[in-house]
Formats: sequence, C-alpha cells, structure tokens
Amino acid sequence: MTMPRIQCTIPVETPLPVVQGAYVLCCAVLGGKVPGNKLGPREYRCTVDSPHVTSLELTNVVISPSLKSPFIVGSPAEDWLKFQVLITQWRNERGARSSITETVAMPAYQKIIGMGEKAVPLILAQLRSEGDEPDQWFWALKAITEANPVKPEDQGNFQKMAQAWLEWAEHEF
Amino acid sequence: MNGSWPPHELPYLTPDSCEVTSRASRRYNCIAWAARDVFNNWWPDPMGIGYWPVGIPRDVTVDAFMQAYGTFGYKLCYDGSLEDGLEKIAIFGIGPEGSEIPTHAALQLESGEWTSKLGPFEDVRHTTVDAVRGPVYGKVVCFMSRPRP
Repeated sequence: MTMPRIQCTIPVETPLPVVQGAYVLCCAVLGGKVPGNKLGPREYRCTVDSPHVTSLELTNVVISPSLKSPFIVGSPAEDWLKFQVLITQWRNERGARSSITETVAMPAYQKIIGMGEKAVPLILAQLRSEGDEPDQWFWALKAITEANPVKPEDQGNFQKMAQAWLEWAEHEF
Repeated sequence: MNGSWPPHELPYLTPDSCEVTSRASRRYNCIAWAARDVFNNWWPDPMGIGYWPVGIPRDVTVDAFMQAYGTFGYKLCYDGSLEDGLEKIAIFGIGPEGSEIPTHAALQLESGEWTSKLGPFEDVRHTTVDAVRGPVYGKVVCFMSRPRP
C-alpha cells in the first residue's frame, strides 16, 4: 500500500484561533499521527504518513488561506476555512451592535451569503455547535435556501429558531 | 467582572461609570432588554428574523421604535431625569438630526441609574444614560416614560 504523504505549512500570521483549530482538525483527521518540527518563528511543518488517509481526507489537510506552498487544497476544506475566517471577521465588525439589519449588511456576513448553498451545511454545523446561545445565522439561511421553518410566534427567539432550522436540516440533508 | 465588548466602541463606559451585571448572551438584545424581555432579540427587520410587536411597522425608524415601546405603555417624555413613579427608557440613534437610525435602548432603574444590554455582550448598569453614547450607538434621540410597574 502506498502511504500518502502530506505536508502542511501554516504561516503563523494567519489568524491564530483559526489556524490552531484547523491544525487540530488536520491532525485528528489523520488519525492522531502528527507532526511536526518547528521550522522557525514564522512557520510550522506537519508531515504525516498514514494508511487511513483517503483522498477526501487529503483535501481536509491544507488549511491556510494565505498558503503559498503547492499543496492539494480541496473545496470542503477551503470552504470550511473561509467560513471560519468570515465568522471571525463578522463578529469583529459587529462588535456591540444589536441591529440585525446593520449586522447582516456587513461585508463578512454578505460574503457568507455569497458562498451560496455550500455555506448551508457549514452554517447548520455552526448553529449546532453554538448550543443554547445560537448566533444570528437565520438571515443567511433564509436568504440562501428561501426556506422558512420558523413559526411566526418564534421570531426573535434564537433558541427556538435554531431548533426549527436544525429540524428542517434533518429532513433536507 | 470585566465586560467583553470592544472598549473603543463604548469609550465612556469605564469601571467608574458602569458595572457588568450579567454574562454575555446572544439570546436577547438591548431593545428587548429595555422592555424587560430576556428571551428574544427585537428588531424590525424586513426578513422577519427579529421579534417585533404585532401591528407595528417593521421599519428601522425612531418612530417605529417609539410605537413598539408604546405598546408597553411608554409615552414620549421630556428628559431622562429620575421622576417618582415613572420608569423611563432612552432610545439611541445615529445619523443626521431628525432622521436618526435607531441603534440602542437603555432602561432607567429606580435608583436613577441606567441599564443596557450591549449587543451580544453583557448587561451593564451605568451611572448616566450618556455613558453608552459613542461611535456605535450614537446619542439619545428621545426619552419615553410610563408608570413604574
């Protein structure tokens, strides 16, 4: 059996929480066989050999949006990373604002909507991960899917709205 | 307890002028908090995401906000001074005078201090209503009052 060989170079100037999260995911996907020799103050190298890596998993390895190295980058990983970066940007842009209309008009939120249908499973996963403190993903879900599983009497109750969308997802996905 | 909001957005909220009174939450926003609702996010968005009282225009205007609070018995009043038996709210807005876009609402406590929910961050008690003015919330556009429940 040929052992797939994967190399990841992660510039540390990439937003650290995202890189760290993605790096952990990368290591987890590869069955815990991890890394790495620190190459210097600006980058780390992760070299992994594993018989368990499939081509799909391979696409989940490369994680830096500013990656300059010639690694294979699959769209699921790119989309996931892009979404995570946009969430961080949006929350920074939003700050202490309460206005739904103002915050959904912010560039990062619009870019999430602009990702189209491929953003839907990412948003739903995010919503699920937020538990009983769901964020305001409902505008994006409604705009992209044109669905509206929320009862009129539950408008504004983000917990109930999240529950309605997650139930909707069970039927749609 | 320290607040988690970006300090530059609320430059007049200092340890001397405010006290954090809750943990951060996305379950309710400032408009809901001023109406004593801790289960909903209020906003008159056209997409029907936020809660908004039935029958009140879903317009992001000071007038629509006044109508929304009017459903709870609030009426326009002159200022934010503490008056016996009255509960007051302040609606904040930003933009040219006379056509401000609503941004925030604060509720007066019986002590004369004010309380605000800061977007997805914490609730705070602030000594003066103006302590939450700034680049994000702008300034007080109007005060409303009702008999204190």
